Amino acid sequence: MHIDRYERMWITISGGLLIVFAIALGFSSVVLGVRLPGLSDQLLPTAAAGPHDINEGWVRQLAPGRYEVNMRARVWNFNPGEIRGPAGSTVTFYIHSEDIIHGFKIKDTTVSLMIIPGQTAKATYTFTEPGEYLFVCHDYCGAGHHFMSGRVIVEEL
Amino acid sequence: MVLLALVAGILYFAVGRPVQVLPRGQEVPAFDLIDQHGTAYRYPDRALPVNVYVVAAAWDNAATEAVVPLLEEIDALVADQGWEDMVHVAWITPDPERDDVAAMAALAERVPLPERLDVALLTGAPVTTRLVVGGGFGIYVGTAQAAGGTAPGFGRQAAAAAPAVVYEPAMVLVDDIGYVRVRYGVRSLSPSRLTRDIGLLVKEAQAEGAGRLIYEAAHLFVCYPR
Repeated sequence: MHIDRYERMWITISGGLLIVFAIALGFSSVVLGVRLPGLSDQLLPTAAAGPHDINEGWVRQLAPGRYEVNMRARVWNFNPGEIRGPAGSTVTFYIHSEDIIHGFKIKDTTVSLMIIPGQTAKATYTFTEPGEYLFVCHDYCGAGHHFMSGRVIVEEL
Repeated sequence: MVLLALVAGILYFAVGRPVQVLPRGQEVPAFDLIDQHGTAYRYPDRALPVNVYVVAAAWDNAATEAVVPLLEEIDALVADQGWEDMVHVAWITPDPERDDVAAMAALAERVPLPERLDVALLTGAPVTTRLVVGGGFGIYVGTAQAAGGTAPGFGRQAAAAAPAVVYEPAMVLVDDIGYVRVRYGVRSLSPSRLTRDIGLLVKEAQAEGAGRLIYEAAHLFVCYPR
């Protein structure tokens, strides 16, 4: 069977890459012990939650203009669902899912996360402009998915 | 073949992680504090390629007991490797309203700090320590409103008169360009992990020329230690 020279070249490259990826996957999982993050790899706010319960939703001030949010996501709401702060605040979100995979997207910002049960998703954003920023679950999570939202209210100084 | 070798090399670099780095975190702002001798301490004037900051109150005996063995470990590492001009250690109180200069001097007398490290024990204006500890290091420091109310800080003395701060004693490593590279709770920190991380930062700080680019590539490929 005749195969064009360029077609043969691309088939060879594609096949070679598949072999390289398969070897890399096997090597990393068997020899290097690479694995998906589990419960032991959770990122917790600061060195620890300190006096705050990691299993609850809260907002706390680290310093003037610097906040930490521990957020719990579950069907079909976020806790806390409303966050207030002054303009110019830098906010670090730590988000945990209590049940299934959710998403977290703050409109008009670069914050977009997938919330996987057993892991903690983290994002930091500085809200320079006053206004109301809607955040939504953007990973379909069931019948009430479209209700799963909240807002960050950034107040003028 | 060249392409395959290149791909294999990149995969080995990204997956095998022959060069490892610690992730870059928040940038630490410049600050002015006062050490246990009453001398002004200005960051980054006293900074070295690797800076270890302990965040613990002078009155917190339990925290002190956890921190001292870690400082001894750092001292032994520095002496062993000859890194005296590479590693700087400072101790910042999160409770400057109680821990004034006299309290930090008393801490230096009370606690067997390693002499070779020349640990600076720092206090200062409450707003400054808040900006450094909270804004720079990202460590939460709250206030216990009433006795028996909010859970007290690790090792808080029950007889303390004024409202104590509520915090988690921590250790923070800051690199030569002022980024927080790792933050630990001192209760759960193993000496082996601490010395490993200091070693990684020293190696990275010592890299020059093409070596520096390789370390930047390690950041790009997220080559963090497991």
